[in-house]
Amino acid sequence: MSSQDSSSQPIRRTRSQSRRNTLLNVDLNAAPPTENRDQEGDPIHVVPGDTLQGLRGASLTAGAIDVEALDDDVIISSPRAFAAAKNNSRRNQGRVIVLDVDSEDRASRGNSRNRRRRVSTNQATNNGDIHIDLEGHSCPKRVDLRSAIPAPPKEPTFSCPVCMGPLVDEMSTKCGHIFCKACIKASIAAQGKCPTCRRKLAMKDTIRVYLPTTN
Amino acid sequence: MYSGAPSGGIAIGGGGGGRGRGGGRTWPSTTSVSTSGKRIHKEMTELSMEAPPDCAAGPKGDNIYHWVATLFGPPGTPYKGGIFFLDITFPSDYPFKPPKVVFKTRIYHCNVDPSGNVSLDILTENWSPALTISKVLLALRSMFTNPETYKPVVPGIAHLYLGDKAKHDEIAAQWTLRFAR
Repeated sequence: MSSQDSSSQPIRRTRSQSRRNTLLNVDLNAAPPTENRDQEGDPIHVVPGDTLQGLRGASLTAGAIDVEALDDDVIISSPRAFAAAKNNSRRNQGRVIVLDVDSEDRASRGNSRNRRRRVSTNQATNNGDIHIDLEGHSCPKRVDLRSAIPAPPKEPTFSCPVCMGPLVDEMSTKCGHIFCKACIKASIAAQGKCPTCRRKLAMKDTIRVYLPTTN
Repeated sequence: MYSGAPSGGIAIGGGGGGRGRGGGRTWPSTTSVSTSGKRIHKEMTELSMEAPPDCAAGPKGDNIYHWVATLFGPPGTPYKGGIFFLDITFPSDYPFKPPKVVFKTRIYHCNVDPSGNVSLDILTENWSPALTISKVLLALRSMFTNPETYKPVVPGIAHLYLGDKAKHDEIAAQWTLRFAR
């Protein structure tokens, strides 16, 4: 990056705005305007005497500060720095920060990232709170839980489609259907087919299965 | 030996329960210990809790192997308004063998022969032990709306159904009016 790069549009605009902002916004320790060469920036943004525009420009200027302090040649600010600066400046809270058409995406990205970061910090604090709560009142909480949870959920009972009763010595067919051992044996003896899907079956096509329990 | 009066079932009709109480009966014992008896009892309870639409079924008397079922002619068919009674007899090796279903009410239908025997694939070669009376009743009900004309037991009715459905429906409605009300 040479000094020639500094003549790129965003930086020029930033400087022009920061120059104006020094009058309005003192706390944005913006770098003093070094050169006076650029008034021919984007006409939309560089409307002379537009104070509102100047105010809106504050955020961008704030973002540009870090970078300009580092080097004159670096292009604008990173979204992170922009967001941080936006956080710091009370003025911009709740304001739409679409002031620069060129860096619009950057601004919005910074904004979204900022929002995300804020949310995440909130979650972190929340989690911390919960954790502390649990540790602090562990005993009463446990009692509460015991009284709050009614009966343990009923064990799921599966019934055999043949005898319609609970499965006894459940066997699976090769087609994946499960019956009592006696039921599938009798079914195969009678028809040689799976009772559920009518697939041709022999007793060797069945396998003993053990259904899991919840506890 | 007898399990007594059926508990909780819809007992439609009466009598017939005492038949065969002597030694030479042909149907099996109705003790619920047997697999078939247990299964029929379960089906009975299930049917009493929720029967398929326009259907009812339950043991005739205290013999749970002999049921009677009622089908109401579905609206939109020539059988509408008719009440059709069926006899259902469970074999001793039920559910591994299909139940026998016979129409007691005369019906003009290409899948029901003059003596009331139903030709339904799931009641013969396509029977499965996983089928229930409730599903059989549903199949019978759909038979009212869609007769199986490919392999009818009364080919004349099937021919008429395919050739002149209006005439077929007229006759069927007449029969319904005459026999099923």
